[in-house]
Amino acid sequence: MDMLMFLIFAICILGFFLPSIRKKYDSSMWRLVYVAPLILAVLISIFIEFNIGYAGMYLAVILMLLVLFTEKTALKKIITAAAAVSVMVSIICIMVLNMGAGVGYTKDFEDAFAVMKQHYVLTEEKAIDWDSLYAKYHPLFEKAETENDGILNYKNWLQFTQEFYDGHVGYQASDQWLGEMADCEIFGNDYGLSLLRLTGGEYVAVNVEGSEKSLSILDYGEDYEYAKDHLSDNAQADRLQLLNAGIHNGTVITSWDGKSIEELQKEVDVYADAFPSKDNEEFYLSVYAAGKGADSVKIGFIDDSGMEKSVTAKKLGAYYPRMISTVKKLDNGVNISNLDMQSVDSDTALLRIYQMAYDTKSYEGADYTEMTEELRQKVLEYRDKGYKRLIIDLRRNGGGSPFMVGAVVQLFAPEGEHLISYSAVINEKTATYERGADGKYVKDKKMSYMGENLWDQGDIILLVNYETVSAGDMMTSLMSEYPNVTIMGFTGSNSSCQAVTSYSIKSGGITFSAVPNLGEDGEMIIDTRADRVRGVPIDHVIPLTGEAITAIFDKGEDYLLDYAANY
Amino acid sequence: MKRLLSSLSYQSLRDGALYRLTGIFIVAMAVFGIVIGIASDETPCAGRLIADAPSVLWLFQYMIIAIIVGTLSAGDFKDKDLYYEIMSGHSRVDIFLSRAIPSTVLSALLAAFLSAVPVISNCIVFGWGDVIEVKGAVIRIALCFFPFLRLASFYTLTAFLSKNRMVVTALGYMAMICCIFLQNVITGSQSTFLLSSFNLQKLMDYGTWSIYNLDPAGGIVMYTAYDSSISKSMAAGTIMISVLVSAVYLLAGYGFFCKNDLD
Repeated sequence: MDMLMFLIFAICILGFFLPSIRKKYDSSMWRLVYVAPLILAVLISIFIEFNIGYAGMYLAVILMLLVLFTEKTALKKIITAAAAVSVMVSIICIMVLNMGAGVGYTKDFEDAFAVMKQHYVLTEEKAIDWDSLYAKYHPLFEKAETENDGILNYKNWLQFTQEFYDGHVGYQASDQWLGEMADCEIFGNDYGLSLLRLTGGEYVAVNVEGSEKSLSILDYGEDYEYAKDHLSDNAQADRLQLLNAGIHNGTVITSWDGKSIEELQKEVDVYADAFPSKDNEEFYLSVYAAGKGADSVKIGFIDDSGMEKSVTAKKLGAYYPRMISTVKKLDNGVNISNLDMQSVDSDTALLRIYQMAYDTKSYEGADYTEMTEELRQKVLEYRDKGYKRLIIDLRRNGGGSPFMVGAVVQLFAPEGEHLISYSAVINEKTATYERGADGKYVKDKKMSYMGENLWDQGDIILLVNYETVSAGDMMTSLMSEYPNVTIMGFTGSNSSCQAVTSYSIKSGGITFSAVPNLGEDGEMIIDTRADRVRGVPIDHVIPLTGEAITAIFDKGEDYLLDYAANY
Repeated sequence: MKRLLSSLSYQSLRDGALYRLTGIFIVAMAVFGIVIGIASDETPCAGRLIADAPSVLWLFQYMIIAIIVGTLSAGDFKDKDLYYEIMSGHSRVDIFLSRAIPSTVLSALLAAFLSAVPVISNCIVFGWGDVIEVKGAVIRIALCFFPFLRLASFYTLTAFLSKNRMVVTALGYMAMICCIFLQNVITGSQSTFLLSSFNLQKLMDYGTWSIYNLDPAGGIVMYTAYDSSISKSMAAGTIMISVLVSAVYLLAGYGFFCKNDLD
């Protein structure tokens, strides 16, 4: 866009000198010079953007056309000079002063806000105060627009969507490069470590740069092009600064720039994901805190001899890649195909489900007969081989079809009919779900399944984490009622289960809960309410210990799976 | 100018080709309306036609207006009628306006009427349905007159520039093809009034909200609601911009015509 404006400026300059040139090379084709800005402006308007912010350019187009109607050389020169000045003013306003670029951030927010306000189905349950949200965020989006700041716009969206404490409310930038850039700018600086709070209350270093199994700044690939290009000048030289000072995975961190880690955590104002339940947020809070600081931070720690020490750690680059890496190391499940089973030990079998989708045909409908039969044969095979325990790995299960949930859990449910959920009555004319006189959505069709109790010879353990969401949450919730099922993980599942929809805006798209799933009592199932207490139980919270840190971050083991197998 | 207008009206009214053309357009648009209804996957009705195939209501008019304007405004360059009028003492402004006004207004009116034809035919066969409210649809179709007026004025300008009705007709064809192409390019464009096609597209773009529900038998069942109301700013913008741009086109056309050395 900027290059095209410079091109129009250059054409205006050419138009200024054209009367002199024409005397030497007489041709009517020269008239095209005065029409060219119009053609370019139309092409820009159609294919790139029409915006009143480019008023100077449009004025120049009109001025250049006026030249065609005059024969006086002096007048032509005055008009073309005025056109050139007009374009230059436009360029200065947009590129230097960031004025009137008209990126549409405010309108994006207004559009999306209006749609969400009308169609978000958990307004009452989560006590959403739309007016105060608008009052809080509208000025922030206006600021992003005025300053033409895509990163601020991105951060605004993250913060706005996280106000709902709903795993289904999120924002995705259409410009992936901008998204990565914003993530790298928003989540702070990398000093070569992440932090985790052990169950005992201490904060320890994890994913320390230079440790064998840790993320290395040397290994940034295609996923982190921006971070790779924006490493600090000293990054290569200082990357082992923490290891050399005696900080490794599991080292207790006592302070951060003179502050306790609890104090540091208060500075965290945005997350990469939503945390509907408060306890899940508390578990991951320290991971986010480790990006806080300026060019260097003074880290207090207890070394292996028990001495309290400190080291000044310099910034290596952007923290975002290490932050995501830490979360993945904690949350990743077993890396096998969806619905695959394998042996963990002589007594324990594993079923991996990372998404509630089987194939395209079944996803759009409700018939999962083929999938159920396939899975039934696998389960029976392991049962017949004498396996006593079944671990169902739902970690990082991003959800999918509720019908598939029913088709899976029916194999393990006690015999008899079990409820999945009720759909809500929809007003077909307005395509909205309306509440009844009692304030609840009105129950419509019942979705249920018949239990087969195929795994009655032993217990079942469900491994979950905060990334077990949506239909993953639903499966966890349904199976929590079976007598032989134990749900465990470092954290519980996400607690977001209303069906989701998306809405496109200019800078990207938002998702939000828009289709109610109701329980027998007509209440929305699973989702947290305003108090942010989890809607899906967890039977056993696996303690995060030094042993777990060593297993996960030094040895690269699947600590949770081993823990569940030996439980 | 009155005499010029009445003589041109007399000439036009006795022009059987224009009548036949208009008749063909009306029949074709009516057939379109019914065929689209028959081909619809969902229960056909006029409201659904408007919601699902809005471009049918305005796209072909790009060509139709070009033919009419080309015939009424540029036709007399060929048979030299226009030259005889100049020689017989009529002013150029009279000659210009006696062609420009009827050709733009009549073609825009006809185009707006043709927008309603497929809806009417579909409604007669399948009924109106409850997809879209009648009042909103009528207002939107009526407002199409203004972008059509702007389009007709542009064709009038090109008619006086080219002095050839075939050029205007070809331009209409090209414009129609470009609109088909641009429809995919400009989806979501903010530039509502930049081109007449953008304006028409926005007029026919009913606000929608689609959502699904879960059905134990059918799986995911989609529901779509349409908002047929139109904002005051949209209506006012359509009228004002169209009238303003039409005036600019006609002034430019006259500016060219009054200075042009006729052969």
